[in-house]
Amino acid sequence: MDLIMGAGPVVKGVLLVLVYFSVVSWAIIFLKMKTINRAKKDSEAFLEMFWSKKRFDVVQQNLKEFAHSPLTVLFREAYHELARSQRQTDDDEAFGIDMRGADNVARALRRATTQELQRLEKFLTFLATTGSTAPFIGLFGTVWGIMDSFRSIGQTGSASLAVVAPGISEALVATAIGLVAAIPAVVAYNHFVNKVNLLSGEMDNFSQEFLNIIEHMGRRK
Amino acid sequence: MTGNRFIRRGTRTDIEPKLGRAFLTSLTLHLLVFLIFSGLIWPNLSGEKRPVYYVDLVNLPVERPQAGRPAAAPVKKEKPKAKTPVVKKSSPKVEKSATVPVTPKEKVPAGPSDSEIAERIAAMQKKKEKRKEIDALKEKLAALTSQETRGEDAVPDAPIGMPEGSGDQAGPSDMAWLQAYLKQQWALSEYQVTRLDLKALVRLQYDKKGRLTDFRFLEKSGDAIFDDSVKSAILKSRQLPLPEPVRFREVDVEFNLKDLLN
Repeated sequence: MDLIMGAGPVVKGVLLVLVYFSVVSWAIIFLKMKTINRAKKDSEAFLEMFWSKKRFDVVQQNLKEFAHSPLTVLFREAYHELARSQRQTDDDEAFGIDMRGADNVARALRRATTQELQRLEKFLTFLATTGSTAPFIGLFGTVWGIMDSFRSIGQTGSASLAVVAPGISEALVATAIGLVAAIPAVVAYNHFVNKVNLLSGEMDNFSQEFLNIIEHMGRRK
Repeated sequence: MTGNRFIRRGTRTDIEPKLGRAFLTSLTLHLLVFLIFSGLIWPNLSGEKRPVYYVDLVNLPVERPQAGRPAAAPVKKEKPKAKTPVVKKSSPKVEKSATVPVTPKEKVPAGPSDSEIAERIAAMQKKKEKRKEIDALKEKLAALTSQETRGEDAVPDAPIGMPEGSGDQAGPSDMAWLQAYLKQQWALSEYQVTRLDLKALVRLQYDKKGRLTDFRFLEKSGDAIFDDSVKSAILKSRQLPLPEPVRFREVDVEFNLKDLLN
């Protein structure tokens, strides 16, 4: 407490910036933890339900129970696209229905995947920015504090520990807080990126499986 | 086709957790951490305050130490180099001020009586004495200001006692003396123990002659090597070098590793 109060205005400014970074980082960590955990849990439950049902319209009716899963969005988009294609095919029977419908569904799935990935990765860049810049901002505060401390050495003409040490310890607080802000941000960023990659893999797998099912359905017709 | 197909409406925004709530949680967490580590809630977490003992083992301990410092008899640190120029500067001023007012007054009395002259002389002598006193004080002040005080006792002529003493006896506090004496007998290296925050509380009993009659651990540190070192320090100091009768009979002494290593 004394170290912070005794610091110069520039160091105090740096500390404020770092506290802001830390508060926002932790807010994002809490938010992402909730979002990604829910997404993972709902995805597992949705897949279980999806493979247990034999009809898409039954699956469609149960989607609300897995609202946080990105797979439900993929399914909904694909299902709507499939229904639209089938309606069009019924109107115009001259064209082959299967391949055109499957392409449309594939595009819808890709679009939904991209959109869901964007949602899951939202704010993660702030964590990366905090992780990479906070130590440097802290270092800047420290360098400034040490410069001040050397100036005071020059003014007092004494280089004793009593003159040098307080200034340096006040300055080092900035680096310490920079690291305190950066370390959780880096750890959380890596953790969430890994989770998002896993979910992305799950989405890709689901898309492929869904397309396979459609193709099988088309061939049966 | 109605509206932008690429914007999906009502799919996520209703279930998406809000950043505002997470921000408030984070802010609360930061405030809590700040309050805990600033020592506003639990002062102990802001750093353990270690006791400071000012003890001089040369002076005998007393029960009610007076205010002062526990060092030995005041050491007079003479610094002639610092003092002499000040004295030289002040002395000619004194001479001048002493002589200048005298000369016109000696010329004035042409026809006063003997009694008046005697009164005037007495008044002048008084004035001279006062000036001398003022000069002496000035000299002392100049010597004090020119002295290098860093690394020395702030008040060299302070009476022997304790900084927080409120009694009337000259000498260090007997409890502080005992602590310091035991610490002197205590030997333990930081490499022998696993932790640095070890401490033990021991109750010591002495007889009139200052001989240890009994001791028992009120609180053990949990580290066998540390406790053994405390025990050996107590046994090493089983006879206190104090004149009879020793006042304290039963004392609780805390052995703190941080104090020892300091």
